Amino acid sequence: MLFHKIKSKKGQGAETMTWIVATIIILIITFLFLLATSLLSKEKRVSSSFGETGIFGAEYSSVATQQMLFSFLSFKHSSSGKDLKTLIQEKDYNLMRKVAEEGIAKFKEQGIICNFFVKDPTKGGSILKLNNGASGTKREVFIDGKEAILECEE
Amino acid sequence: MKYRINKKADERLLSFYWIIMFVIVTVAVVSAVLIFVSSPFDIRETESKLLVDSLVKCISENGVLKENFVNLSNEGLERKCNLNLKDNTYYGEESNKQYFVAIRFKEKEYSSGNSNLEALCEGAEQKENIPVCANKKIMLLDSRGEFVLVNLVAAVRKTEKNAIS
Repeated sequence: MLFHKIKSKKGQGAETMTWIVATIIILIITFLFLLATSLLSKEKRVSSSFGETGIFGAEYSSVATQQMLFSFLSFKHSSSGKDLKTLIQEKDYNLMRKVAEEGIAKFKEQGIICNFFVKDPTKGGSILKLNNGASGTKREVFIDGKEAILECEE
Repeated sequence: MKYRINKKADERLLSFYWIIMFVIVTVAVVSAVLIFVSSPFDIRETESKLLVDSLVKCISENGVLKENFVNLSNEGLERKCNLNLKDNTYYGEESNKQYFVAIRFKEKEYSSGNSNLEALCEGAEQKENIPVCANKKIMLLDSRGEFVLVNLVAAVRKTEKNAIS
């Protein structure tokens, strides 16, 4: 009888300990949950890099690169007086390369690193590839079936 | 008999414990949702970039710098670019001191808004509760066909509304 009583008391003690530990674990998890929520709530911000498709649609923040591409294509060769767009249309690829390299160098002088590509989707290859390792906003325009792409770093 | 009475007491105690646990977990979940929902969304970064986009659209057309920017007054920039630099939420400080925009090229500067904000832009990533700024450098052609570097700056303050909790 006495043995049973002792055994029962021992069992009750172990069970109580289990519940106390369980309670402590539940309280710790609850505290961590609240802490994480509090930290996450401070990071609530809507942000997007220039050129990314943001919450306001595809046009968002790519305007600057688009305008730079237009200015690049309108850049005229000093001696011939022809701009890049005309050279692409006339398929004068040697002069086009020269003008594009000059334009990219002028961009670089001002701290703007850009890549410029001209592709012919029908032939599936690149006509011009000026890769300066820039990765960022990219804009493209089609000129007589050729795709001119300007990609500039932020 | 004695054992059966103890078991009933145990069950009552356990029920009480479960109710307390249920209340604690419910309060925690409700508090977490309230904490998360009540904190404001900071959209100033997006707002400043949209302001820069508006400036780009305003100063250039097909990659060419609009020459009619010369001799613009600061009020003229706001009107010319169709910007509204007044904070209509009336949250925190004066509504006309929450924004700053500037266009710089060829040693010329056209700006509008609270010019004190720009000085706070540097090192903005490391500090809290200061304006959020967007800087953009672009190359445009002038009327002579030469490339011109244009610097665009937009700063949005509104710290009371977005940052200070």
